[in-house]
Amino acid sequence: MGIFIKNRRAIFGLVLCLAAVSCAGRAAAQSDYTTITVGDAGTISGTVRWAGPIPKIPRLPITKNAEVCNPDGEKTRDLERLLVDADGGVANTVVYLKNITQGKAMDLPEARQHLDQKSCRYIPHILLVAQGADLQVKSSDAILHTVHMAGAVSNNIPFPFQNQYIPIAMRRSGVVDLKCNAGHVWMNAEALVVKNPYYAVTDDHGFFKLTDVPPGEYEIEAWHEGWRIASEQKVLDVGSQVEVSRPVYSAPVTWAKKVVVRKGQTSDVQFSISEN
Amino acid sequence: MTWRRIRILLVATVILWPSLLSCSGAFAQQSKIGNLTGQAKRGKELYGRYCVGCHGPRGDGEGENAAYVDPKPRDFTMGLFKCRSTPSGSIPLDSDLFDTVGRGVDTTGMPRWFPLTPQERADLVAYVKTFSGRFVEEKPDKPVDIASETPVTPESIQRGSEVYQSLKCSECHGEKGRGDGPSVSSLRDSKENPIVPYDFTIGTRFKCGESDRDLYRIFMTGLDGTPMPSYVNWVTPAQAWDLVHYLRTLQADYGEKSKTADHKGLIARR
Repeated sequence: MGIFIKNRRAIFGLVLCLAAVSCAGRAAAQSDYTTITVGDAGTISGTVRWAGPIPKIPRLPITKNAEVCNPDGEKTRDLERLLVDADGGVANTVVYLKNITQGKAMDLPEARQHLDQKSCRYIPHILLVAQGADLQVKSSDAILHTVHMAGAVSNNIPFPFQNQYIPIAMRRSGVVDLKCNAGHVWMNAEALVVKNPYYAVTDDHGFFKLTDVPPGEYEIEAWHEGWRIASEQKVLDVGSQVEVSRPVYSAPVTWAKKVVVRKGQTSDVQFSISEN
Repeated sequence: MTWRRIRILLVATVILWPSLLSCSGAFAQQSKIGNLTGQAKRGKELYGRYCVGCHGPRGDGEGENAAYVDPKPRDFTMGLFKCRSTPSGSIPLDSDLFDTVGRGVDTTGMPRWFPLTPQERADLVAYVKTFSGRFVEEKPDKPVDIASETPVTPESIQRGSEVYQSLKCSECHGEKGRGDGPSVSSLRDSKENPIVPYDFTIGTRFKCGESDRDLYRIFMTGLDGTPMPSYVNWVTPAQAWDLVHYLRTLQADYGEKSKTADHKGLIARR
């Protein structure tokens, strides 16, 4: 009997511990970034460059609404999945601190929180939105577009009218794929819903900068959406006899490094990314 | 065990019970539909008998019959459901899933599971919810309001026709609602399978119900997991009813509608 009571106590204790650990883990996951007043901060800047031959990314034919989608008279459209400038700078790469737990208040660039659909192109191609905030979406085109989100946030909103912003709540953190279901199969963009402000998108020359970083050692990561087409499914419209391919893209790719940030100094980080 | 120990045990249980439930996702093991409480444990047995053939043992829509079904069975692990009363992007209410099980999904392989009792359908809903973490992490949004129906008049139908044009419904559903719009060949579901828009001329039932209110709800909430978006931002309630009245005229047996429209609910919840 004595052993029985002892075991029962042990089991009860174990249940309490498990509950405490489980709830503590959950609470930590929900509040894993704290805003503080950042004094004595440092800066991280650098570039993301492509190494090796630049892969040829196929362009898709503009099969619909050419008068709106094709103002320059091009017959095909770049998918914007890999943009490398003459010096090898890679645009649209997201660079962020992976393990930061405290720092400045949210100050993500305003332009990355507004999406326009213009000439059947998502502008900008990479969006950055704080978890719980709204992405503001509009269409400059006088045709139907839809913004179909999948991933961390799922949503499907049409844009039948021009120039009216619709807020879309981005509730869960993670990556969100965007596509249009109104026949514009080349339209694609990615939104990152994030829990802290230490995210930067590389410019056309691959340059990035993270400011107001509390001194310390961090893991810094470069995230690219992926540039390969993993598969394509062709469907023939019997009525119009138009065959349309819808691309499915390869998974995102990341590269990680360590960086030390010192008070009042700028730490330089160079990423070299490649096909392999 | 002394009274003191029993008291400590009781107090600890009372204090920790809600945490234990919420932290373990125990609420996701249940469904609540009106007075019915469904239990996942019972639902699992029913699922193994009635649902596994199409939806698969892991709930991923990869059952042994899936290869022969078009459109493909729902992948419950994605937590995306066509027939909801909640806005696009929200998980459905338990009652939405319950109604879908009882009503079936017209034009798909999903039958009406009417022979199952309401308790059995509630148990199935509880089990289906266990396949997606969304039911643990998220709460459903408030259902989309459905305003009182406006009178069906020639003017309302005419205005509805104009709404159909201005919202560009014809891009997918075609000028005459036959599901043959110019975007058809580009449409894919959430698993990249080709999917066709609804052809309004083929009958009186829609994927998510058959009453006017069901039709109103479908285009206000959208059908998640498909290309059909939510138009709740773009139409007033009066315009939405005009659109319903117009869409009814596209149906081959328009005129018989009034005999069947209000039967919804009797079927799903009987």
